[in-house]
Amino acid sequence: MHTEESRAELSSAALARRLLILLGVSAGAGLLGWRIGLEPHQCIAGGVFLATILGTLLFWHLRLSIAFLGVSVLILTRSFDIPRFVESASLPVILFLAGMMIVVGALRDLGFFTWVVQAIISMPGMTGRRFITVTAVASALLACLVDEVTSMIFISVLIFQVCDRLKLNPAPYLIICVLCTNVGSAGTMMGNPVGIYIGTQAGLTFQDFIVWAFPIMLLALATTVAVTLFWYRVELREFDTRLAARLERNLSLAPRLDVPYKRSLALLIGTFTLIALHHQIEGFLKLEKNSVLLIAPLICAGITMILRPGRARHYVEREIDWWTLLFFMLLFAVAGTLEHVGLTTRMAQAFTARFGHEPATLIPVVMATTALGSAFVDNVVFVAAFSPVIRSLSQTMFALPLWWALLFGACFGGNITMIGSTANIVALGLLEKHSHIRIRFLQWLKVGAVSALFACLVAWGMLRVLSPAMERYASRLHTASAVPVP
Amino acid sequence: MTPKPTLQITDVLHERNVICNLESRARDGAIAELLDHLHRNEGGFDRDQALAEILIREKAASTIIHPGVALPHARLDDLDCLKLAVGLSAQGVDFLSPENVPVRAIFLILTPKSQPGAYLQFLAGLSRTLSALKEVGLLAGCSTPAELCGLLAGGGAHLPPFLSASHVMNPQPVTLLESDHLGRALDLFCVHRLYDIPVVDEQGDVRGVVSLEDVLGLSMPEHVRWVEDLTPILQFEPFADLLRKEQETRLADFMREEYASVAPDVPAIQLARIFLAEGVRQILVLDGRKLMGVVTLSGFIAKLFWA
Repeated sequence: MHTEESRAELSSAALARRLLILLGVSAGAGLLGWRIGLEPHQCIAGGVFLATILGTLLFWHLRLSIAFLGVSVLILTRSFDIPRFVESASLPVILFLAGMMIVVGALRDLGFFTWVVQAIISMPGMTGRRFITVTAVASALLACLVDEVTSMIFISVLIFQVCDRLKLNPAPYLIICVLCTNVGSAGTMMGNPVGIYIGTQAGLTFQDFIVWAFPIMLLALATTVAVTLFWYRVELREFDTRLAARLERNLSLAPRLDVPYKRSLALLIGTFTLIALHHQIEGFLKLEKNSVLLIAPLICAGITMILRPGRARHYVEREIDWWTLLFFMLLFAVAGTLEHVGLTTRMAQAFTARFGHEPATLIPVVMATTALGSAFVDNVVFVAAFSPVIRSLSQTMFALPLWWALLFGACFGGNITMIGSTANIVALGLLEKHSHIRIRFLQWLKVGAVSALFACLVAWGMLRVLSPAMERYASRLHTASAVPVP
Repeated sequence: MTPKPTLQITDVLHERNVICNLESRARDGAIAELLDHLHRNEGGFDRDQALAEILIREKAASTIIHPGVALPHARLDDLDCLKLAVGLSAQGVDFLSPENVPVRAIFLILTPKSQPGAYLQFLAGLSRTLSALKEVGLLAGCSTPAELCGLLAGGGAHLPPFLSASHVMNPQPVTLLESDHLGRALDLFCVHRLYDIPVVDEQGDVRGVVSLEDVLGLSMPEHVRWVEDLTPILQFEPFADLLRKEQETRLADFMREEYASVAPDVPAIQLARIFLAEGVRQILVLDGRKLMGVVTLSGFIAKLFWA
């Protein structure tokens, strides 16, 4: 649980206590597995994976250390080897994320985010509802284009700017935008690391996301906006009162300026177009599936660095979150071991034995389990654990709706608690730093759980309705990885 | 480790180096008279070089540290220890100060360049002695060297064993109240040519700091600063709103609550580290939350290497 408590320095006693819990639970799980008939390598892989999950819960700021040690244990016990590690670490996904981080850094340098913020602040006929609706939708769409954390960092500056000028508590407006950002992050592969991971695991294209995930995300977003606007209706009235008073005194919310945004827009459109057309380009060049998708940000980042040589080193050293990417790489490798040792097949068998093969049952089960899990554990961890299970299920059934259920559960579930997604943690950290306001767990839980529930219900309903159409679509396009093997 | 024994002013002031009635009434003449006296009695330094150094320093900034008391001084290469001479003048010496107050006690100090803190340590000890004496007339009224040395010894002030934050700080810095407005801050920044100003409450407790960057940041919000190259923007008038509401914007709304601070007895070397490691221009000297003084980077450098 990456709370403030774990962020702070732990005392030696607390550190030892948590280490004992981590080792005890992981070793206990391994022993339990052995008692129920798992093979030794399956017990070890399961124990290490559980330790990695517990590492994110108990040692958020040491999670990379836990992952390093976990991988070492797997190699030392011959649960997997170095070639297998490299294969499972999803290096293309890591490179995709690194390339996108460089592109985002260049977009900021070139004025794209300033232009967006300036456009929102300067919109005519502003009211509280209009401002927060536009900002929330913008933050969701920005999450689709870049990623949820980046979107939240930039949008929070906009909210602080406006709330400072109006002398308002920014917390309600920030919460609305974070909730919408998490919903928006399910719209494309770039919105969230789980998107690109699910895409590569399921063999889904950018087009698949646009056809199925994006419209469902838009409906869930509309629902989330409506729910949160109603929830914070009193605060929005106060916004209107303060705004009217300020405009009466002929004071603006920010200085007016024409931001030079064209180069940044060209970079964004170029990157987006390359990603959007990856399937067609791969077909034309007879390349492996998703190969252009994964290298598209690298192409754009490479060109950007050539055109801006003075900033190239800055982009690589400062814009890429190496800590997080290394953790993802090790996490994917550990999750790959579960598959390698056959544990995920057994988990899938147990899953279907309990819930059957009916999508009508499995969709809500997968979505609810992922949502609840993502509320407390990093959603990438949960998706990494679940992906091999769904891939095993795809051997015997049509699994495309399950992949979407996994995606929506992981993204929308992040809204339930204040520690449910990295965007939440980043936004609350910025709020505390800027306004010295700390949100209480229950304060977030009430609005977060309600909005997540509505968003998940919308997604569940849509997946139920669209499942037959998905099957026809998959057959037509031969999305082999997502379609059951006959 | 045995603590270093603390020195008194009288440990470095010998009676033979005191002139109770200076002949010269002019600054340069009085300094030369004292310096000649010290050179005759102690030797060990180049008299002409010392005089030149002292006068250069004196012309750059007055060394009057207390009404009626001046501390002309120089740092010399070939000196082996601190040397001190005192001159008293019943009529007073014209030190060309703006206040036009005649100087009646001159403490002429020569320190080795190898001991850059010696002068400041002496200054700290003398300040305490003068505070204890309250009236400079008591010093100037001494008719014999023995009487002067007795008076200084009676003050009981010791030279501090090491240079600390309290010795290099400005004990009367410009401050703002947290209830002040932006307009008042702009006035102080421009009049005193400051970069940072501490913000205190009515009790003198520090509440934060306002810097020139904070004022500029008000007119150029963070999202504008994201853009690396703003040169294409030729029409930007961010200051209109700022000037319109300067009397409405309270410091409490935009001051920073993070600042570098130390206790008064922190050794000067720690200040040097903070300046370098944290990249700050100003360190607040606090007793609890009470503001005791401010050490600016430029003031610190001047006191250590030039004063």
